[in-house]
Amino acid sequence: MEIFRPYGFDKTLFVTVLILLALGLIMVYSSSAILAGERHQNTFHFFINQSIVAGIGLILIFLMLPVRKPFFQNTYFVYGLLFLSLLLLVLCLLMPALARTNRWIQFFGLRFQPSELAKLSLILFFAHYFDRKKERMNEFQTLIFPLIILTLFILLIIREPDYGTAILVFLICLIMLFIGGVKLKYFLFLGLPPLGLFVFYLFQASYRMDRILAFLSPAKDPQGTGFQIIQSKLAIGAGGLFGVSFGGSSQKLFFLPCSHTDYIYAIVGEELGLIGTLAILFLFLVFLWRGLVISKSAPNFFSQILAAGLTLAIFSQALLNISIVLGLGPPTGIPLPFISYGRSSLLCTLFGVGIILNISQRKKNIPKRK
Amino acid sequence: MSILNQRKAHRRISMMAMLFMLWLIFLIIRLFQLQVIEHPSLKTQVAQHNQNKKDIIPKRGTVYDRTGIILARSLPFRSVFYTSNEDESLETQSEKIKKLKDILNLTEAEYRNIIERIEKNTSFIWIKRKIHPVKEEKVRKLRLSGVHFLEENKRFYPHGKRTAHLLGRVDIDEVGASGIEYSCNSVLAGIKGKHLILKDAKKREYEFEVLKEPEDGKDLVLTIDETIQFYAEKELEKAVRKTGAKWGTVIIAHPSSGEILAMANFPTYDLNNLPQNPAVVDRNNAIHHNFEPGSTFKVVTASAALETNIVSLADSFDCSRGYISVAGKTIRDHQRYGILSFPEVIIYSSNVGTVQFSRDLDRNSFHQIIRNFGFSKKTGINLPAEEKGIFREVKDWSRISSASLSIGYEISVTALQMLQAINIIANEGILIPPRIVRRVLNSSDETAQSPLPGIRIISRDTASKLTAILQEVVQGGTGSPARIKGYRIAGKTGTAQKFDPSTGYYSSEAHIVSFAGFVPADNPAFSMIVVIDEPAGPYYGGEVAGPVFREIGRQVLQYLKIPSQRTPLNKIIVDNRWRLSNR
Repeated sequence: MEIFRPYGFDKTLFVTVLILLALGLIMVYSSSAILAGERHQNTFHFFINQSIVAGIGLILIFLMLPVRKPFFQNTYFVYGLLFLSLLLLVLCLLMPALARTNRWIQFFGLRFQPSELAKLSLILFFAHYFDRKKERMNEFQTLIFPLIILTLFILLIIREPDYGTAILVFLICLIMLFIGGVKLKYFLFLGLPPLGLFVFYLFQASYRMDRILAFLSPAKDPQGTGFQIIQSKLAIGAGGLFGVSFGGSSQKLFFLPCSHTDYIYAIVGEELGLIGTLAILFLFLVFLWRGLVISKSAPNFFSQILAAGLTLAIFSQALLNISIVLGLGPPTGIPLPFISYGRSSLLCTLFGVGIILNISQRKKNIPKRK
Repeated sequence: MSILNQRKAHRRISMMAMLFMLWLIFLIIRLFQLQVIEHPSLKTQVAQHNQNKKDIIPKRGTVYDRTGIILARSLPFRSVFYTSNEDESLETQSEKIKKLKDILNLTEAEYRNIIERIEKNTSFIWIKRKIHPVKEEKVRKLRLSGVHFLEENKRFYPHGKRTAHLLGRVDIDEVGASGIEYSCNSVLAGIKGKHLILKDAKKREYEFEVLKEPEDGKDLVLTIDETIQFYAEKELEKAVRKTGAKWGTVIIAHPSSGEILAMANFPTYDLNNLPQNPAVVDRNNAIHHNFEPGSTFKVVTASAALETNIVSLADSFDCSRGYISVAGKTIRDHQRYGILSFPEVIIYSSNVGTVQFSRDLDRNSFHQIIRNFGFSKKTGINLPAEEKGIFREVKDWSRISSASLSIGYEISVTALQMLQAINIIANEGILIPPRIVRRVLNSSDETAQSPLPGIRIISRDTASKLTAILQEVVQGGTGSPARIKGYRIAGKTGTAQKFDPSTGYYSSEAHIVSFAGFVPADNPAFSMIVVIDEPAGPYYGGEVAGPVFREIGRQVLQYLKIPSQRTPLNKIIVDNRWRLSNR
């Protein structure tokens, strides 16, 4: 049995998340003020939007904390969420295109990116599914269902098209499969269909190939596809040790596209220098550490892999985003958790944090062995 | 079972975390690489594309004449430039330039050049610099995107052609290219400032930071008197046109201070509307042309002879043959004079007599006196590229050199050097170098520059003897066309045959004629030299240059209110206009 201590959640993790959120809001303001002023005649436009969602996210966390019953372990909840994600993703494709993509669904003036919810629901689904099937984990029949779900989600996200998020979802699924205990030899069988999809769609759109080529040699077309890679590197490098001072970035002046979303880390690098970039890495490291500690002391297998899965998913997304910003991967649109501007992403990430914190209140009812 | 699963899962989670830690370390290394090692180079690259350091052009100083009349000044004019826009098609951009082309009268070549630059996505393209305010207004009304204005200064010369050679011109960036504009460029130009301009990716400039304030150029007051300059130019032009000469130059100076009151050249050019080849026309013949002075130089020979006491005023010379042989060469007078006294030799400008009285002149002392008179060295006037004449060392002299020199050949001088020499006589034997800049305004010391220290070249006695002789030259000798009623003028004519390099002989057709003198002889208000090159008709110095001296002199004397010497007047009102302005 487990012990539930309401509000006995992991304070370190929570504070870390708060610091990351605060830093994120500041940087969103700094990097978007000029764009917001020009596009919306209000320099606080993006800052306010992000703040509202951060507030909602925190309220959500506080609402989740006292829930004694682990609602997230409920089969209806897990499959309901999974089905909802799937439904929204399909709806996405039917919605009129925004910026030539179908990544968002829109209702009552609000926009939502279902692929963000998909990440969360998939983690929940895998944790739930493996918890149920842990006795027959490495049987072929057991793995068929996750494979279908996985392939379906990836297909839908690629069709949006959002190749980057599809890869991230795939990565998260692999993490879940790995920590769920699936034998390595099955990975080949599990990975092949999605990989096939990736290769097929890579050659479907010429810009994807261009991006990869641009990543390999950005200097070939510095004004075109290589532009973002070069500008990002310049921003990071220009910061030096201590940065050019807060708000002093010049790369955000339309040199670096997506400077308040996917490339916000570059602006952190420019304005706050190595101190700032290392500080963010350190905060994510603390987040990883606390997340894994929570996972280790989780009362059951489900909670354990769920906490670890959520932690690793957020952490890996951060690493992936930073790698791209540092020019170590081809440019794809993946936001930096807690920091980047992106309301769907922030809300879903905070929801995930709420689950981790809820799990941190649950302990095994056995004396601790030291 | 659950515990077992949890342990296994924990192992795998830890493995995963380890893997991510490696990834994280890799990222930290990359951060170090970019933010520490490559920081300097990346920072420069960022600065290159978002910063611009631009000069702030200071206002160029104004040039005044000695009475406060503006001779040259800079006025703000707008220049039009274009910043190309990658997002716009070439057609729409060309359309805009085409509209400008009509207003600004761009040539086809200029238009094509601009379009080419737009194609290359050059960010800053000059359309036309320093346009007229009316055209500026027309361009502004079009409200074309990417078309911007930059305030620049344009040099403006209120008197156009007047004093053109002396003032000189500036290039499009207002850097002096000739004349005073060139020689005093550092004073006039001021010191450029710098500002830092930050640009965004759309090439919009959004922040200016002045790194260094510009220092405006200082104003100059020249020794020139615009009115005297006007008389000189007017009469010179008349004379050159009348005689069909190639060119002429007139310099007027105040002998006791060395100040140049006028420096005129004809043909001249319009500074506000430069000709195609300004470098050719802006040659200032007063200081840039070396010529053999001929008889005018006899003043120097006579000074040397008197100084070395080889001749006295009572000596006389037989000039009745009309020619004299020196080392196998014949030197002629243009008429037979008979027996001439020493003063008469100068008065009638007899070559034969001059060769005779200078025969005993020691070569070295003659050479030294010529040099002392300021020949073969620059006068040091503050004008660019002054010539220093051509004068051989004694060791290179031939047997005829001494005789040739005595009548003003085998030596080349500039008009200014010749005037400086005449000024020595006017100053009772003291050389005062000529100067052109009277004072510099807006500087710590605004007072007029005091005359440069004089050097005694010949004795007072020699000078006064020569002054007396030179008065006679004008009174009844070769210089009589220069005579002005009521004033005592000291002067000397010169008619030099020009050496024709193509034949190797002195030409009997091409002459360069001159007249140099000062007035009033006993208390000179000004001295003047007139040089006219290759007059087509009569070619004697007295006939060609003399009247020019007379006409200018008459007007200047009136302008300076120099009283006629016929009736004795109170000395107090004998004052000069510039002395009044000395306050």
